[in-house]
Amino acid sequence: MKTKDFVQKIQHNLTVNPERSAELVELTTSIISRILGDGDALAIKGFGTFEVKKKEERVSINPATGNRWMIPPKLVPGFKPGTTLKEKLKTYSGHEQ
Amino acid sequence: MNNKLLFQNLTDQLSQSGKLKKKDAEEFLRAFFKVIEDSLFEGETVKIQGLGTFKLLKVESRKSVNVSTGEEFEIKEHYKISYSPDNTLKKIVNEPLSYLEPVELDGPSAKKEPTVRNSRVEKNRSDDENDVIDAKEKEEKFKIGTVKPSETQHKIMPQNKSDLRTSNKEQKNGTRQSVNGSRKRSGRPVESKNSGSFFRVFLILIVLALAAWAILSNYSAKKENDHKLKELAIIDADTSFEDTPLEEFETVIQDSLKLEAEIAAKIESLAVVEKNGGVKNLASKPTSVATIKPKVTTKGSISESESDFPAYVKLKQGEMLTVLSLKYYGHKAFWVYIYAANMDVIKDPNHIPLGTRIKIPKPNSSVINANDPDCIAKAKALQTKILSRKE
Repeated sequence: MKTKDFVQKIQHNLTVNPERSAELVELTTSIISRILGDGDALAIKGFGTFEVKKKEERVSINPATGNRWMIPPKLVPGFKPGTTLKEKLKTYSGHEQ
Repeated sequence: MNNKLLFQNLTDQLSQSGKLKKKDAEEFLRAFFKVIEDSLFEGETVKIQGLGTFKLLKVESRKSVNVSTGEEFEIKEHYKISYSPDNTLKKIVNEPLSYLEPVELDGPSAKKEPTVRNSRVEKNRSDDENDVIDAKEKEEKFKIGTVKPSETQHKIMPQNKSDLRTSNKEQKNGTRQSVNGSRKRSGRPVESKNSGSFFRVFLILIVLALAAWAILSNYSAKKENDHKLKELAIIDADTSFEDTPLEEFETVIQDSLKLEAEIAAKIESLAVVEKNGGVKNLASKPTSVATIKPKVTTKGSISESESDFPAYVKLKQGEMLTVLSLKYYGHKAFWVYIYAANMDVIKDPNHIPLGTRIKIPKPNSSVINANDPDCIAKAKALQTKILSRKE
């Protein structure tokens, strides 16, 4: 499902100004990116937590040449499902085809 | 930084920047996350531009063992949520570390272990100072020759370090002990870093030999006689090297002996250098990181400071004042100065509408200097002032 379909689905769920959905989705993602960009975490009750994780630096070897590269540390956005979502996952057993 | 924001904060921000009623923003966001969830459970992959992709992954059932009882049990097949962030989001999040680039290490044979590096550095040093050492080497040989009587004792000792020390005390008087002590102390950081107890024993052996030689040379005519004897002894030693296995052993470790002798001789300076070097080598990862950092920042500051100021930037999605500051000034904290220059267009530094034209003033190097902690501290103080005033 792409963003367009996603926006449509949200529209069905909205009672107030559904026509602004596309704009609001974009706004929301930019807000989330800004929060994560500031290094903060965003916890959404019933859904999960968006957070920034730090990947430590490591040495990787190019298998073709055998050269060793030092890969620098980096910050990566991550998502952890919350408890309610996890509970739902436990009882979920595949979607109906 | 490192705050945990809640749904509440998200609705606040959305209603503010989207000019929505709070209630509507909340309804929208609930729908937002509900749709993600529902679509996932319908078996769909949800891809949202600017955020990332959510999908459900099936985890096959597998056998596992209860650690405490040793019982085998089955973990049933289940699903888990996988989230892979969008590239733009990844870039935004990694902005503070984006100046880092992968570095190729020197060849497949090179090792990262600090110990190896250490010894390499030492070898280099010994190469550099080989000429100096040559003289010392000779002294060294003297020692080996002269100390022979006591050295036989040393050779018995190496198995036990404490033995060494006690016998050392017995042999030498107080002043010499203090000399020995200082030598040992300054020698130790080096030795503990790069070698096992075996190496250590040899270091101590040499320190003893040095001390013994110093004593011998400091003493009077008797000692001069000894010197002659020493010379004889060297010749003896040189000739006998091949014969006696112990002496042979000595020649084998001659290199390391030289090294250690040199260290002992240059105790103060070397100890300091070594410590520094050692620390750097131990922290080999940070150094590589640190070496890249200045390069990049200076590059940035030169190219930018000479040509592009004052620069005008149209705020793009995901860009913030901190990002601009990092880009133009080399540090996040200096966003306050950009804000100060754009007070007329920016109402709230946390929520700048997209497309806002922002002027980047020419940095004054006495105030804006990413390499000066004082400047950063000052900027941070300003930052807290601005943010607190806002609230």
